[in-house]
Amino acid sequence: MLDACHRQEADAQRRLYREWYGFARSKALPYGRDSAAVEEIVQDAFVKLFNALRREVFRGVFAAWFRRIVVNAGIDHYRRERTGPVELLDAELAPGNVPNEAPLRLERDDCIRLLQRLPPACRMVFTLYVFEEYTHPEIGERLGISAGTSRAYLFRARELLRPLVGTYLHLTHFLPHE
Amino acid sequence: MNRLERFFRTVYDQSPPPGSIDPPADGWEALQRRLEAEQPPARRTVGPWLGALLLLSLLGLLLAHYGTQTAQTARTVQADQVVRSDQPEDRENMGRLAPAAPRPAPAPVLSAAEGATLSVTSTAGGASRVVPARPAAPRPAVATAVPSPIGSRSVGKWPSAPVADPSLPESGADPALIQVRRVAPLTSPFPPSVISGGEGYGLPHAVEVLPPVVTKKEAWHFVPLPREQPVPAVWEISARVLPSGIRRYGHYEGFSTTPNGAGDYRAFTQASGPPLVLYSDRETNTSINDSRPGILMVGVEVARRFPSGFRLSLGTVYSNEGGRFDPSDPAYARGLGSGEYRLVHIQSENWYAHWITLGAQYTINRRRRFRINLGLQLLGQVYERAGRRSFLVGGEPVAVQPVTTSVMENRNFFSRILPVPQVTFEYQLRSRCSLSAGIGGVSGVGATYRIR
Repeated sequence: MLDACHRQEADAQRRLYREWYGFARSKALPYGRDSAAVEEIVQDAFVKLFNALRREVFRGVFAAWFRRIVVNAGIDHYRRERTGPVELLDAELAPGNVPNEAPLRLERDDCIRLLQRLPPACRMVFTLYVFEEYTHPEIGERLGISAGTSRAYLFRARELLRPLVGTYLHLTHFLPHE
Repeated sequence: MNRLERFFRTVYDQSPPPGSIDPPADGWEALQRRLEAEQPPARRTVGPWLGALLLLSLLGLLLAHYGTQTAQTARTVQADQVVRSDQPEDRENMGRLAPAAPRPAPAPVLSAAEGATLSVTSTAGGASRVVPARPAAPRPAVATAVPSPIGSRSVGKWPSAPVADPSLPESGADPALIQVRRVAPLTSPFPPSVISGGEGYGLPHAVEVLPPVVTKKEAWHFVPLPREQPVPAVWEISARVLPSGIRRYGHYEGFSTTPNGAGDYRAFTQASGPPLVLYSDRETNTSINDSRPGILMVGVEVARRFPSGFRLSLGTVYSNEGGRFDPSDPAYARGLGSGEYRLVHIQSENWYAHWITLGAQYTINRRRRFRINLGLQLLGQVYERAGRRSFLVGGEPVAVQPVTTSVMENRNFFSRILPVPQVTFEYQLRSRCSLSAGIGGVSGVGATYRIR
């Protein structure tokens, strides 16, 4: 399929898009502040993917490579949007009436959508630090901020997330004790 | 990582299986429109073609340049054959001179019985052979003491192989230009005479996408280095070969057994029988300037390419500018009739040189597969050798008689230093191997091996 994408065969590109759309969307979810932004990041990621495949045939672990492309597309999206007005939107969550049953009621995407309540910079730092295991200097380099600022954003993200998560689920029921 | 982060991490890493989520209805169409909008023009196909065109153009210029050099050298070589009868005779390799003879009769030649078979001529009044002087040679071979196997008193003991003798005074050119002629057969037991001196010249989801088997040969593919990553410094070993024409130049001197009006003649001793007295036929004098297929240059260089794109190289080059030529080649006797002779002078026999190269280049497009190195090379000559051979060819029946053989060697370190602009093209075939072609300096086509 990748070879066919290298030859820019539309059928192969469509199959790849359909098969890997879910993967791309799941990885792009923390980077967009709403569904439209997530769709835009996914589109950007696929454009980068097909352009890269057109240049060279890819051999290797495709999932890891594509994940990196999605992350880069998310960072690019953040760079474009951060200069605009910051609008904090409430995620469209449907929490259960009983918090302890929350893990059974919340879908995966709904958990990630909690992140979308964070300010963009805090969300980006939290995402890159926790999900992508970037170090603070690396985050600073990618986002154009200092490592200290990155640490501050991470601290702020934790402070904002802790009560937010507690509203919907108890982590002690979800994860074993440390 | 605290519990909160591990929670999110666990949720985030649970990727949905491929194909489990359907994209939006118009997602593919929108993506396709963007792909078409961002489709670059057919630029990738233009670059290689332009590169090839440039390569061919430069190669053509280079070949034309070599052709010019050949013509110039051919002219200068003729200067070695300046003969003036009013100059003192070079008697080093001559036998005892015969007494002068009146014109137009041939000069008296001493017979073997008289102990002077290699003797030559003098003319009446000491001014009988006047040959127009030619320009002086810029690359004179300075003769050092070369013991001639033929002394004036020992010539009578020589074997009975064909022996000829230039026999005439040859000191009209630059005093530094002294061509030593060994009056001996090629089968002579004597060692060749050598004239030294002379001036010269590298997840589970992917399993469904990847082919089930990836052979070792297909494992490598070129991935352009992103701009965020620095280009690593590498060592490079390059070897290039330049196939080209091996040049041969010299000139023909025409002779005939029929006396000419001017009375110019030369006597050549023969292995047996009386000396061969031949009269100059200047109308048949022509120059030799041609080539045959061969390898003109072989070069090896070691280079260090730095992350900045600069490249320093050190190497050595062997250039072969004249091969060995067979005197019995029928081409030499072509057109000769009975009683006609041709004295063939080959000035470029087995002419080769060694050079040491020092270069500095800058690599363009170094993150790509096709790279171009632009820079300058210094070529320092460390050794040069050039042989000269003259032989007499007779028509009907064709007979070849060696006349002289001489060798010029130049062992002076860096006797010539040439700054040469250099352009090198590289196309990466494997992670370490590239095809390369160079113009200027270490020219030719070859391969480059990279070591990190």
